[in-house]
Amino acid sequence: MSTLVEKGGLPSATRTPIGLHAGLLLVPAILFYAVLFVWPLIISTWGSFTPTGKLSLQTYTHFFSDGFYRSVLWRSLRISAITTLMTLIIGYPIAVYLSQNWRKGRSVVVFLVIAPMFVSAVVRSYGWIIILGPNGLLSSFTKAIGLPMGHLLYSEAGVIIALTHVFLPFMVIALAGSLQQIDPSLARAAQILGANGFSVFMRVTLPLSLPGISAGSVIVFCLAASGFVTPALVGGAAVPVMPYLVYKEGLLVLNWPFASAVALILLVATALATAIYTFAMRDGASKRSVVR
Amino acid sequence: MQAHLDVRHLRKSYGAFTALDDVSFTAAPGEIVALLGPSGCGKTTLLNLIAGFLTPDAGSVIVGGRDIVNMAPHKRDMAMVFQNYALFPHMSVERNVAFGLKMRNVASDEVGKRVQEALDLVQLGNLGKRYPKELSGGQQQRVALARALVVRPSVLLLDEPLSNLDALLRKRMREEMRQILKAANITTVVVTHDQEEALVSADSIVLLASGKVEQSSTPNELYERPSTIFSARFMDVTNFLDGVVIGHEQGNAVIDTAFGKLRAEVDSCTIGTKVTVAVRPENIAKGEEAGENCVTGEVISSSYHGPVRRIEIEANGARLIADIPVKRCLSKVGDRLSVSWPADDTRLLPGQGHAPVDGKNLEDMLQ
Repeated sequence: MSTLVEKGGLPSATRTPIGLHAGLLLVPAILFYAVLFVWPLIISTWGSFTPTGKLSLQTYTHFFSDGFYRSVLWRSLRISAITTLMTLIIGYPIAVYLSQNWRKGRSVVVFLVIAPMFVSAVVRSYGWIIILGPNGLLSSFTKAIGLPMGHLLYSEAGVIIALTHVFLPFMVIALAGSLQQIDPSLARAAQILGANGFSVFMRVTLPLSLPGISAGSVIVFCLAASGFVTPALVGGAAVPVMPYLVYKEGLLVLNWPFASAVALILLVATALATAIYTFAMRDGASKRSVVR
Repeated sequence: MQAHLDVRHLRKSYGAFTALDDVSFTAAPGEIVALLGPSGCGKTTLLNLIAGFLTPDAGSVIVGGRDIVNMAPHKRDMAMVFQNYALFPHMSVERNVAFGLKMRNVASDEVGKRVQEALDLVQLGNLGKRYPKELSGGQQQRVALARALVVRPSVLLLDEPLSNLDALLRKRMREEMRQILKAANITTVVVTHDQEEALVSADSIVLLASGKVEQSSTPNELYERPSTIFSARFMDVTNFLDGVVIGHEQGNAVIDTAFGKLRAEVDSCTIGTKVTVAVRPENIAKGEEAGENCVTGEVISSSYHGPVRRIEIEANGARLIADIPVKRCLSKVGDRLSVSWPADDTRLLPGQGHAPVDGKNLEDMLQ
């Protein structure tokens, strides 16, 4: 019996019931991604480097030499970053509320947070068009109270508001998950040692929720950067973002190599931004751990 | 000595459930008080009321002459060791220990000095840079103790501090903890369900049952002279016999029981009172000469317990358990055996053994 265990390397209880090698369990997913994600990615990457059939950087120099395209990239990153920040600011208190098991209204709030996800992004964006439009709720209200400020439809602010609404649930779920894992006795330990509510938050709750902040931010940032429907409907051509550019170049102009290049630039930019962000978070966390 | 911590008439209920019902006790400066009782007796609620994590329905918590019952926990100048230690996982041992000092705005050069002193006190002086998850359970327990001691709290609260340690370490730590607490001269309230831990580490014990103080006394008195059936049960007395007081001679009460007449040393008693006679198994010896009370019966079970053999004998439908040293015990099941014990090892308790306490079955309460 003992030799069996030694051979297996693991106690039998941790093996899968059907005794397959763990790698086999991943085969369906690997095949799925290989066919539907990796292969198309390779094709379009290749396409972006061979606009005329020969290897060249033409599409990329075209993109980066034009101020308009650079501004679109910059706008995409800016909108995503601000949206991430907005969902974090609005979502954190909700997540704290949800992580407190003794709250009676928890299930209602969970429903309210998740409910927007039941509705398609197209429908939600039309909702925002109605609210933000020239004769919409918002401008009627500002007019009524004597502060006419025009409307936010086809503006960057409008896009950010709509994206914040769409992606808030993702942030709340990521944050609540991480807040819930914090042992409630830690806050009490801090309190009895003399920490007031603010100190408990700054020194215990916030640092321990960093993984959730990090995960939620990466999710929201990536989704916001690659989101098409909401910016297209609420921002339209007045607020062009990278996915909108891909759509226009690929499906309207039919310049596939350039569309591929734009898509790849967005992918690399998003990956870089999240890599820098997660690295900074981890670095910050470990620096804080060093004894001062 | 004047009480440093004075808990008066605390009441706390959750809906229809009364967690604490008029609980009072005091602790002198530097005294270690154990709140002892089975789970659900209200001892943790009581500790949380003292810490300020809960607000009582009525009553007061007085520390150094000042009622702090409505004060927020962070202003109470207390410290607490939690059952799971509650060490901050994102801070090194040093920063965990320094936390309370920083919250009290102690100057940073003094923080370093006092943290090192506290870590040396719990013999972890060289582990300051480690993180809690890199420590063993026993080491984490010491860090938690150091973190609480370093602030020199007016009252130190310990919530089942040793229950997460294995049995051997727990035995060592409870003596060590008492020495540390006594050396630091800090008024301490320790919650435990382990009567041995309470006996070893406390100066006085408050035994709680169903939210009420069952008995409040020194460890010695609680062990030797439990005042109720519940106290006796909780302190490992296993023999209870219903009886009626029928006489009084030479400072002993004479009680009529299923085993005939038994004698118990008492100060006073009233003839005709229904009582329970309680005697510890370890006080019963083989033979007829060990004391005034002698019972002869049939051995119905015998089990090996290391140093002793636990013998159960039956006579007249009543049973008696005796712990006989293994070397002296050759009796087998079915043998007739005489055992005896002195009157001064016999306790008379009010009421009769099988009567429920407060509508609750005693066995349920002990669970």
